[in-house]
Amino acid sequence: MECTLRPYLPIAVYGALVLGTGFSLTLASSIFGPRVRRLEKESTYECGSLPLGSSRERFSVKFYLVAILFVLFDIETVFLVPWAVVYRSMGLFGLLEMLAFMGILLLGFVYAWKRGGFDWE
Amino acid sequence: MHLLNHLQALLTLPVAVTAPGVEQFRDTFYPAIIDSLKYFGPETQVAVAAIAILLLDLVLPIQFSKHLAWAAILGCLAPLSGIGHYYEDSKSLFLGMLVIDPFANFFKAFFLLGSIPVIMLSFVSRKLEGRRMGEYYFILLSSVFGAMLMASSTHFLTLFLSLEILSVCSYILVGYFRTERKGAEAALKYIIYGSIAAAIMGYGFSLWYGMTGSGEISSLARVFWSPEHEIYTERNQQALAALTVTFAFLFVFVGFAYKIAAIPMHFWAPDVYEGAPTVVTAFLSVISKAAGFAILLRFLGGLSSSVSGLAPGDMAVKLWAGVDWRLILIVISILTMTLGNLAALWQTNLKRLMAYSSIAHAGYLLMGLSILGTATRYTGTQTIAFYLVAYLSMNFGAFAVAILVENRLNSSELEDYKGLGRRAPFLAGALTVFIFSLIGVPPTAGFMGKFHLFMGIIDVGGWPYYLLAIAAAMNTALSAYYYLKIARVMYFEKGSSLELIQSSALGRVVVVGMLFLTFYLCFCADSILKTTLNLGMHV
Repeated sequence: MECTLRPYLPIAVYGALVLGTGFSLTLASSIFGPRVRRLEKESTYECGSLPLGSSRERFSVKFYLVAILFVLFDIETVFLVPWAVVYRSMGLFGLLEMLAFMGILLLGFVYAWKRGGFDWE
Repeated sequence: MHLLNHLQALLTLPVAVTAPGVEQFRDTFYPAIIDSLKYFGPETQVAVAAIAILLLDLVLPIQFSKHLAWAAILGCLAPLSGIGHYYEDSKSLFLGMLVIDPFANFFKAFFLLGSIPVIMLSFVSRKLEGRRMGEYYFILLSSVFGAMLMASSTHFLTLFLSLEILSVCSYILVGYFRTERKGAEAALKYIIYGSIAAAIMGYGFSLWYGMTGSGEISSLARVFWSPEHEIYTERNQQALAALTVTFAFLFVFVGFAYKIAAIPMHFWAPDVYEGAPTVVTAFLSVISKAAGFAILLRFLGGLSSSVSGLAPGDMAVKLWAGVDWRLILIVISILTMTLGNLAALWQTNLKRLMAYSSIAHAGYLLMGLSILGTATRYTGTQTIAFYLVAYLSMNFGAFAVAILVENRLNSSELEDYKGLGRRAPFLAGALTVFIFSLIGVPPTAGFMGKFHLFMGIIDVGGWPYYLLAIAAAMNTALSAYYYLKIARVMYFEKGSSLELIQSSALGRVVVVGMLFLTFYLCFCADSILKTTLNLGMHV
């Protein structure tokens, strides 16, 4: 099997180099680096505003609906743009195909609207 | 130096796809797509029915919302005429993405007809009463749509997509009552296992694509490798390619195994079956499982016909002689049925017990897969298709009884089935018949189904198949214990109440229909077997 893995030798050497460099630099800075222990030094960022609490906060589940509805229109754009680029060469067939696609999306839009998907409260 | 060589090899690899120009799209692809559309009628009808139900629900007053069930049944019946019209056609559609052939048509009809009892049971289920049903039937029909695509997909992309359509719809159905703890937990577990299975399957597809340079099922066996490539030295190139293919096979199988609840992806089944609304459990245990088997049959059928269709001089011929995927299936089959049956012995909840029973039945059905492509009196596709119809009759029957009992008692614990023989003589009697069918006692559908599966593997012969037959026979005996436990509880144990259990007329119609089918499949097995014999796949 040794001959099978030989082409991967450069990758292994490269990996060892990366790991070795990372470790040795961290080690060197912790051994040789100067140590300053002040309040400013210990804070999360040495400059700028102080962090206010955790960033992992709870937020309203309503945003979930917004995100899902966004995806609906996002997908629409994702398909519209390439279609617009080749619109001329695709001709009537392309137009009908796009209309069918938009029609289905429109139905989804109507449903979301009627069901109150756009009301915040 | 090495790296440079690799780069060069990468750049000079043969590229199978030539970029087609606009003219080619216009002159060859469009007509092909438009021609395919007429065969796509049944699927379109189901999709239109689903969307129509969703929009209809917007304008209907809430008390009429439950009657959308009839629209859903219509949505399942209407496509049957299209399927019947093109039943014998055998054609590749949408540039090799889908296919229409008797095999696909049979399974499409199976899913559509099999969904009708589910819709009827949804109608009578007390749990779904007093709600808006538009979304429910929309999702149910969408999952049927996904299942229909699964039966006819012939490309990695469509295999994956159709499987995901069914999966995503099933997740929503399982967690349909999102305020219920058990249902929400079940849905979450289902999603997590499902995504892992899908990821592994996707990896398998990518490996396979790397080995064959094609995503089509018809060229699954055409594995090729470059003898000049350094990684493959003379000595071991074939062994390495075989190893890669074996792993690709196992990875892809994991995705399918998840749908049919076979080892190693069976963990979700008990929790999901217990937590989901009972109607949805019935749907998952029959339609979803059948869809999984349809796609597995399509995949393995394509693999085995592709292997036997290799040119004699092809470098892959020797490789496939060494890759014994049938043996892998035999091992998985034995493990699945044994685990399912052993775990079922201790269950005290009917839905959980049925979950393990459905794992065990996946194991029995895998027996039929292991004989695909071998010359037997009963072919693998034939026995599996027949067993699935039999399984539909007995499983829907059992779940119909469970739903009707749950409507009154609000429980599916075996504890509450005590004395059911007196409280609901008809339901208890029917459940007993379905139980006997699930064990495989004549004269029921389960017996005929199992009989033909056994005949298939014994016809092939050889020690792995005899071992499989012995294991299956022992498992059948083992399963009798827990199935009969249900009958014992109903007839020989006294319950705390003697109050009669009323059941709705429509629910009883479903039970009677399934009883009829259970006996019909035994006495007139030949007619169905003849249909399932001719399930040709388009190659």
